[in-house]
Amino acid sequence: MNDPRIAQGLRVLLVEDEILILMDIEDTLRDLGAEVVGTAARLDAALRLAEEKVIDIAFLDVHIQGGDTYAVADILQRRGIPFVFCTGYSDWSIDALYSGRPRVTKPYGPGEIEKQVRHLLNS
Amino acid sequence: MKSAAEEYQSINEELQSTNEELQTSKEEMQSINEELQTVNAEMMVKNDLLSNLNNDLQNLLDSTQIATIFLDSSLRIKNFTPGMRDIFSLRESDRGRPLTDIVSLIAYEDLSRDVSKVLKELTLVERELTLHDRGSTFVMRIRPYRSVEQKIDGVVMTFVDVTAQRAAQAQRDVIERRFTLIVNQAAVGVTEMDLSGRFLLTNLKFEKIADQSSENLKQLRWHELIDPQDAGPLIERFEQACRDGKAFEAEYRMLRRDGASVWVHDSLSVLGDWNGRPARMISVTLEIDQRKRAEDQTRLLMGELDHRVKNILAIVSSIVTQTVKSNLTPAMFKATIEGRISAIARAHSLLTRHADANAGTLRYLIETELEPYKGREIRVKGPDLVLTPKCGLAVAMAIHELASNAAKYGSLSVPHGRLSVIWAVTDGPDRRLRLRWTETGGPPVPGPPSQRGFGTTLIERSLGYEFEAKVTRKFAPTGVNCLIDLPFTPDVGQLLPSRRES
Repeated sequence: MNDPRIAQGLRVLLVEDEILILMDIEDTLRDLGAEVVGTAARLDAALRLAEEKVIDIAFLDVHIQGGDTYAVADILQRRGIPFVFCTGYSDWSIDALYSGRPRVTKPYGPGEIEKQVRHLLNS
Repeated sequence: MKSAAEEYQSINEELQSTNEELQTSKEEMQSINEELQTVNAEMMVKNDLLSNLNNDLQNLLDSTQIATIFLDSSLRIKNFTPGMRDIFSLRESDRGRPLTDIVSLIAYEDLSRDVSKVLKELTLVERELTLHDRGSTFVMRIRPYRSVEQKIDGVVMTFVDVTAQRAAQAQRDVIERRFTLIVNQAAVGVTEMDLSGRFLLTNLKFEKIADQSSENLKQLRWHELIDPQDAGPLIERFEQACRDGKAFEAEYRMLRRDGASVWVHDSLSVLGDWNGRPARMISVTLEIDQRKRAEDQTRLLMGELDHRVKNILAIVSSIVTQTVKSNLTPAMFKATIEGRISAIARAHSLLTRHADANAGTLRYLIETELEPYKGREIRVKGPDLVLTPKCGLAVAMAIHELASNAAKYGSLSVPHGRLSVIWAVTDGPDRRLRLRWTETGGPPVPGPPSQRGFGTTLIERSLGYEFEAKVTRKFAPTGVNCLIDLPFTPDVGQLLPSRRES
């Protein structure tokens, strides 16, 4: 917590279909020194970005327009990119296959985002 | 002399011989006497025996509850038990009189015929007699009377009072009929099973729930109707109840004949035999498929609600964070935050749409947002369409920001300013929703704002990001106008059948 810019230079993909929530995470990540290299509100766009962009970590809202983002998670996993699920649903609504993955539950503050970034960096 | 002497001699011999004979006779008499004494003693014993037997018989007759009357072949009364006295008012003096003369109660029409039939065929005749004036019912039996020598000597008639039994039977019949009626009219399934779960009795409702005929069910066991997923613990519970006699309840999916399964609730109780040992299982079955479905639905809804509430809180939290960054005075911050949260609340009514059938339409959103400016020259026009909750929120936020800007700097800041909000949905395969916001008659617009604030983000970026909308805002000197143009997909909303052109 001494150095606020723990994520300096980190390239982040944000999949979130709510602009206001996206803006919040974006601001938090920028304050931590990260660079948001891609944002997607829809599944097709998210799949494309996950496949094409150079990414260090990703935040995935589970339920977005066009469907669930498990397929995006699969791509990231294949590419060895750590990610966090974000959801307003309680634990049970995450598909059992992915229930072991780190996740944050809405609403989350900057502290929660920072904690997850640290966690991803250490893993 | 000699001859006389010889004669005497001969007579003497004769007398002697006679004397000897008499002696023998006497001895014989003595022996006969002894024999007679023995016989007499034996007779005495037999007599005692007979008199004992007679006593026993009399006592038996006196004590028996079965009224009995002995008649000779011409229906004359030979003997009767005290029961006859009580029931038919016979008196001792009636012995020897024909039954038909005195007891009209029993002297039913066919009595003589029945008696002659018994005497002729040596069979038993049984009849049920109801004495209406007494309200009693008797089972009457006529049997031939056999003497010791197997000679038929009249008849024996017995009367057993079965009034109580008949009443009990009638009562039982009523109960039985009542039971059957209740069971068959019941809106719940009712079954009786043996301890192996085999169905012995099923009512119509149960047959309907299981989609089986009662004949089919009698070939089946309770266990076989339970979905294997639920069966294990329930069968264990059933067997336990067979041992301890305790009632239990079970909820499970019942397999129907058509292959479908239906949720049911069973209340099972154990019916004991006369010894109190478990003998049967009685089950009352309630179909709870709808309840189960409603529970699932509720669970889903609760999850959805949970999600939405958290989402809304995340949005509110974001709005607060972003608004704080605008460096407003506390009073302005309060007004701005309140306005934005009210806009969210209005958009939220899209989720429920209860109370007002129009809630959820685009027109409703716009009109409620512009409610504070009532009395101004405002035109709101466009086809009726409902927005999805998500799109409704983005539109509500954009309209709110446009309106609050107009109230601060634009046409709504002066009494004579005008505003028109008009929208349309294009035809064709790629339909688009176009909404135009036009302000006129306000103070001259100097140009675009010097810095892009959060309000601008809400107007331009929100719809653009989430719904691929093109938002074009122009700051013409005559007034601000804004065109929102987005693909009209099911994610955005749908047109309502036009009720009237407005």
